[in-house]
Amino acid sequence: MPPSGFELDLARVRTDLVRAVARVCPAWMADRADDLVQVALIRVAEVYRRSEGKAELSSFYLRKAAYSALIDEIRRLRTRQEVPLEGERPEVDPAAPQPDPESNCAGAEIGQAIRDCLGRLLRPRRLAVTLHLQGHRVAEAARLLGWSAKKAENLVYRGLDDLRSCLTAKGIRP
Amino acid sequence: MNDDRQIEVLRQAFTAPGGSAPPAADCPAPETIWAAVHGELPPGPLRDVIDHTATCAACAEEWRLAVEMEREEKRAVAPSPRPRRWARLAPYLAAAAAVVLLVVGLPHVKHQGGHNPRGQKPVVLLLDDGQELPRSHCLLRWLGPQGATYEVEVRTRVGETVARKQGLTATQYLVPESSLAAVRSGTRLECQVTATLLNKTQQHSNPSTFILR
Repeated sequence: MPPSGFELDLARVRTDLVRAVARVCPAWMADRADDLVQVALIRVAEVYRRSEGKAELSSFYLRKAAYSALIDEIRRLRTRQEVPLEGERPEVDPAAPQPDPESNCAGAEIGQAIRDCLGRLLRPRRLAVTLHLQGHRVAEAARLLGWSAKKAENLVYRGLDDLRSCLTAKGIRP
Repeated sequence: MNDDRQIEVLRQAFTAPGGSAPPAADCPAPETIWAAVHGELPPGPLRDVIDHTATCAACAEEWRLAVEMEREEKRAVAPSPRPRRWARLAPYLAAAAAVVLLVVGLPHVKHQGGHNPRGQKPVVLLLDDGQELPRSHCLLRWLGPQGATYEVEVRTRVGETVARKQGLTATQYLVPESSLAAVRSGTRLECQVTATLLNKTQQHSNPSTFILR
């Protein structure tokens, strides 16, 4: 193990991981945040050890480690069916009105219908609309997919049109 | 309903948490989703991942989390000059170092459920000193002992209470915009969280300040 600098780096790393996990950890997993930090920290420490202290622990790398730990844990819980069906939205204020079960159910139904319809779109339109629904701007989608902005914009526009038609055919008018 | 509103409804439905559906065998690895979101995949595999998230609720949620993580990071580093990022957390670094040494030093690391031997963790506000927060989304987040209830107080630098909330079980609190109505933009506010543990003892966070926008 490299000398003292190793521990100092890990102290910084842990603090960074705590922040990274806290920023993205869903409310229903808040009580596992410490576990996630621990898992991510162990992974980072292992990478660092394997590199004999030469690995650069950039904040980007740490966020990636925190993200992987989080997703692994979410998947593990899903596999064990421990994920709550409701109440997954962040609990900001217990007194604040929460979406009722009926709204949750309707939202889930629309979500499933969207996925069905996306599956039927022409692939380029599906890719463009999926990124659009994920909140990516046209310029971001174009950059990711290696298209011109104009092409991306056209595909989003046409794809959304197809999506609306498909949802309407299913009796869904969002 | 106008187009923007309609798109927003579709987005919310599409990116809603994936529920309890277990991951499918063909779900991409988290590292692959991360790489896709960051444009690090070649075009073919990237398109395969996007295609998969189009029809897999769980992976769509995971994509969203990766995007959210980046946006949070950008928001956090965007504010102008402020003291060194870690300076405020200096007292905790020593504690963190001790935990790290313990973790790394153990021959067999076990999943312990996040409790230290005394089962008490400090209350740490996740605020950089001088961080700017918008009044429309003045979200305070912190880390604290498991099972605790929290009281949050936001006050002016002269001690006048702006907002106070008791009995929180979540480790975050959205300060109501109405409570901030009388506070001018650019005002530096102080925030402190008090945790009441199951054994009724209390722990206080260090006061942190933020600038209201």
